[in-house]
Amino acid sequence: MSHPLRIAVVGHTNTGKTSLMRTLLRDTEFGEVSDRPAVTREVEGAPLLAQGRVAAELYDTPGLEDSIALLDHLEKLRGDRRTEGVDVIDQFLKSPAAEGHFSQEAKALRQVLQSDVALYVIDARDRVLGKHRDELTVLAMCARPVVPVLNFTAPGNVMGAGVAGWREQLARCGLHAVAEFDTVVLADQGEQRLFETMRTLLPGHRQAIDALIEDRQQQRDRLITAASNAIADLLLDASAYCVSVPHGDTAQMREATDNLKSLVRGREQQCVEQLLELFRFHRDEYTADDLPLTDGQWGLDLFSPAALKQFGIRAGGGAAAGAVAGLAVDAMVGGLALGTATAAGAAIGALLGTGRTHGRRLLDRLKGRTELRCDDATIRLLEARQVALTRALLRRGHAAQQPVEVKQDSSLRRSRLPEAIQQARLTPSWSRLGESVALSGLAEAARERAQSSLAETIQQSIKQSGTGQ
Amino acid sequence: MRGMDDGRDQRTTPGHVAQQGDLFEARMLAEAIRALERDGAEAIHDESAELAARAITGDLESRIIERAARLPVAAQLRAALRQINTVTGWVIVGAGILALFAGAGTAFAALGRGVGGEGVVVNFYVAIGAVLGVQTLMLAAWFVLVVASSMRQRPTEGLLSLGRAAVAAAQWLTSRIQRGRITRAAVHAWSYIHATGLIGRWTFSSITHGLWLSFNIGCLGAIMLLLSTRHYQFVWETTILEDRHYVRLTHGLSYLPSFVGFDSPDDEQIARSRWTGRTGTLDDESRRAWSSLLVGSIVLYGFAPRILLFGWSLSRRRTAANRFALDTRLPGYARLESRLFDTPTRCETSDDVGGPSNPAAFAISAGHPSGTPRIRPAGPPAMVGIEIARPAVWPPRTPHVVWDDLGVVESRDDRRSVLAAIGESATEPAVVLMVCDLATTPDRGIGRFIAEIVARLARPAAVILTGGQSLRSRGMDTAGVASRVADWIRLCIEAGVAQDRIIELDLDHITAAGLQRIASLAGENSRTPEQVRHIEEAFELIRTHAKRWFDQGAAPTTDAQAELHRAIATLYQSSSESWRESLGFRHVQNLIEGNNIGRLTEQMRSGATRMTELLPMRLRKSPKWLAAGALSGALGCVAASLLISPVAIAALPAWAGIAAAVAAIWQPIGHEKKAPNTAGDNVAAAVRAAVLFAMVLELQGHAEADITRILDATIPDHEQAIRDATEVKNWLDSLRHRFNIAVAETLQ
Repeated sequence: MSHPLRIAVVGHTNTGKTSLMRTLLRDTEFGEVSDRPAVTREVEGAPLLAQGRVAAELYDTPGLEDSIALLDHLEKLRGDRRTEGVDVIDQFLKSPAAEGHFSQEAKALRQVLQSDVALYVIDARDRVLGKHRDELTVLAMCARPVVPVLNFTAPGNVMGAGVAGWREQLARCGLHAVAEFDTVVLADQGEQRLFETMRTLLPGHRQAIDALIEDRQQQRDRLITAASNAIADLLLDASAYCVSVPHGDTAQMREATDNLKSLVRGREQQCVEQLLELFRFHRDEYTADDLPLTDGQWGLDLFSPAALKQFGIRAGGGAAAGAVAGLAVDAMVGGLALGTATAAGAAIGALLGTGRTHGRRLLDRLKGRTELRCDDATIRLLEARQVALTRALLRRGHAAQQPVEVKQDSSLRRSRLPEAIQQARLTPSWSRLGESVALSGLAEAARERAQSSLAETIQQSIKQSGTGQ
Repeated sequence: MRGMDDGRDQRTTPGHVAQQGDLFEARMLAEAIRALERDGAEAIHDESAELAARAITGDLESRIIERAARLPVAAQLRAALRQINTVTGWVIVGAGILALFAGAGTAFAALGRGVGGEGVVVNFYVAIGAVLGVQTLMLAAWFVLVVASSMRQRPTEGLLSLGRAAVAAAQWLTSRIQRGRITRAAVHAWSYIHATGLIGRWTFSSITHGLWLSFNIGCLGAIMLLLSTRHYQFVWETTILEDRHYVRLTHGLSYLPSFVGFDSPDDEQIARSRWTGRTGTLDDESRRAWSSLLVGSIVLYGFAPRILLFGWSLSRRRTAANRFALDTRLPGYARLESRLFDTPTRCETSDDVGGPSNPAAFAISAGHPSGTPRIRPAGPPAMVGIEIARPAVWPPRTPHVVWDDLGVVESRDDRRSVLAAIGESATEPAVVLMVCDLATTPDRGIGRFIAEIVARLARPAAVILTGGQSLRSRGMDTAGVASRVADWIRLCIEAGVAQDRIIELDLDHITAAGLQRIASLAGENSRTPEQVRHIEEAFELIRTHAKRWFDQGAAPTTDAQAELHRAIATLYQSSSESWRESLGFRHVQNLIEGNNIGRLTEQMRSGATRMTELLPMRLRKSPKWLAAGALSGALGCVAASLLISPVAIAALPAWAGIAAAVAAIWQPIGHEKKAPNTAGDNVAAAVRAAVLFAMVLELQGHAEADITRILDATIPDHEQAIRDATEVKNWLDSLRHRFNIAVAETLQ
């Protein structure tokens, strides 16, 4: 194979050609996307990489706008009935009309002729019209395989011909290998199916396409792993963190409470930023309003009861009477509070591992100091929000222009917090919030282990809820 | 401690870093950067370092390493890491010296120091046990732990050893010598790498074995010194064992030493060495044989294994250092992926042929020969739909105007026949009204078609832009809709339609006023219905109702709210036909009389939907206003039916059922299911609904897009609190003010 697979993205104006480019390239910077006609005026190409190598080249083209007149023109050029379609197109591209009224169409067709396959992007919300049929006729004259790609197929877009109507129409034009690919709301396997559809039409480029499919799969797995690691890190930091204040000193208590809240909020935001960076999204995609994530969905403060409700998490559990919302106040004297029955075993292990810190904690308790930390509900909420965000990001096309929205998902409710979190509860030194000290190698290894086991749990819940929809 | 490896890594990294120093250190540096970034809770962004990393070819890890090496903070971290190595080295040297002395001390303790002419009596086996016993046990323990931890796949956990203790001491010392986040990050990276990777195991092992080696050297040295300068009588003693046991034991012990040439006592010498209570019973040859066995045992059972294991550990450590790779799945690294790889560059495009960037002028096809259309007598006005979804009523039934229906154009053939019908008949339509769909993106194809129609006419053509509603239901916001309308208007103007003959009007939701406007395009100049202003009265009604509700201190009941809506509706009775139609209240009259609650509920639901559709996207996202829209739509439906069949509100049959229906309609719409809590909240909700109703009725006869636009401009993002009658009045006043401005601006 002398050159990489060349793919031309064509279609009527404003059907989302550039959006498709952006999503396939994972590049929100590519071209200009707008809900207006003829935004792309020049052919622009970019390589699709698999394992760092160029597996294919994608070319964005100006929209076909006047296919009806173009077809008229081509039929006039043809004159003799026996001239082949490709020759007519060639003749057209050399004619002055290709520089004038049909310059956009000419650019697109020229690119199709130089490509191995054309992706014909369709806005499934449009009705099937004569101009679309004419576009397909013109494309058919180019003698290149054409893969129709139905855009905007997400449920909720119920208008126009819809997927079924378009498929029927395409079948009538002899196009049966059709891909559905919503560039805004990504289906789980949408991209893979698109590549597979192309593969059936391009046996000669099987290797390159396989490499692409595999690369994308790996990329997705890597993303999920990295995201769950980041979330696990956040959860460990938040659940391990605790401050101790003199018992009964309300002023100090309030100060410590505010401090803890702002630390945890900041840490959550840090995790959000990590995730967005991982998924290559811009910061301004969620700071459209002055909220952490937009549309009121994330505007809810981490420590507000409404935020818990949003994810269907019931408060209570660890929260002692009179505790501040979202914080567990552990004022038990004598250190016995460590041993909620379930954690007794872990407590002993933790005591052995980090004797020094525990010694101080026990001493603090004996001196009548109060310990303050995030309660279980808050930890759950943190997890739920980050998992939901990850899922939203996984499903988000790079063409989406609306801010990320997060939907509630009750499947995240779990009856018990994972082991690693319970362990973190007993090991304040694990937390990197506030003025933390570097862990010893041994403690670091233990934290690392807890993090990876927690990450595994989170990974499962991301994947489960990802497919469970 | 330095010189962790000088072997070149075989796997990757062609970048600069590999040449600069050793790869393990480079990775350690990257790890330290990660620790620093995590510690500071803030990522370091350095353009030049990232640029350098993007420039090399290689996988993510090698790019991370390159970036780490290029960060400005790298020099400090390198120094800190070097310092750790130095301190660790000194600690190990110190420990080694201690071990040397400990070995010598053990030897002195084992052989004793008594001075006697006949020599010192030393129990050979006790001495051997003292010198070799502890270290052999430790060796066994080390072995068991290494095997166990390899089997459990957990590198160094639980491997408590001399090596680990030395390293811990070194780290403690480092963090005492120099504080600060740089040192902390370096120590962290160092300990993290040694705690999680195989490298740690072999580092600790080599230190452990090195120290024991030193111990053995000290021991051997001391023993040689003592044996050269002192006179020892080696004996053995027993209480319960027989002689032959000792003979066998001694032969067993001497098995390995004799291989390398160490002497060992023979049977007879062994037997003679049994302690009898008298000194001086041993000849020199036996003494030498025993001494030789003692030294040989220490060399072969103490010194030799340690030096072998020391060497092996060092070599394993080097391998581990070479194999050590960063775990790029960790968030601190994975997040870098997007920064360290070039976003795909652009491909060269074959299409460099310029061409006009904006092929705006519509080439009119040669189908029409002459430049100017011929003058023909006027026929009936014609209407043609261009790529629109055919509305329920087509063509619209305008008063006094009958349209010549040219159908809806979808394909090439349709276009041809329409052009023929317009251009080739004997009469020219008095006006050609083209209906376009706002939901479609305007394209040059349509523009050219419009231009071709215009070119065939001597009289001006007109365009109606319909379908704004379905565009909004696609979720397009106000600005998007406005820009779409502007694009269409531009296209039509370019195609030759005069701007004042392009109107936006939704044919699916047409009002009497709308029909009037269409008729006026056909030249039918009947007057538009007079707009009567009632908004002041309506707001006054709302104010008095709200005041009453506040005075009562209870939440307004649904029938009280319906009463208010009816009062407002009565104000607009003259135009009631128009607004009933456009709000979807066409068939309400019989429902109440027939006590047909089910149908009424259905009507209320559609009224609620209709009213919320009028809201701009921004307000539809606000639960409060969404609820207000639904409530006013539902109650407006009741009010409309009461207008026709004047029944007293209280006398309405099955009022409870209607109330429940109202509640059911608007509650699921809101995001928050909880009902408003205080009486103030309830009044505020009722006031919002009534205000919305009044404004929509006031705006009857205007294009739907205008109504939405005015609502958008009138209702502010943040509303002031409504807690008592005065605040209601203030709010209504400010709202009315904004409303008047918005109306004046939008409708000019």
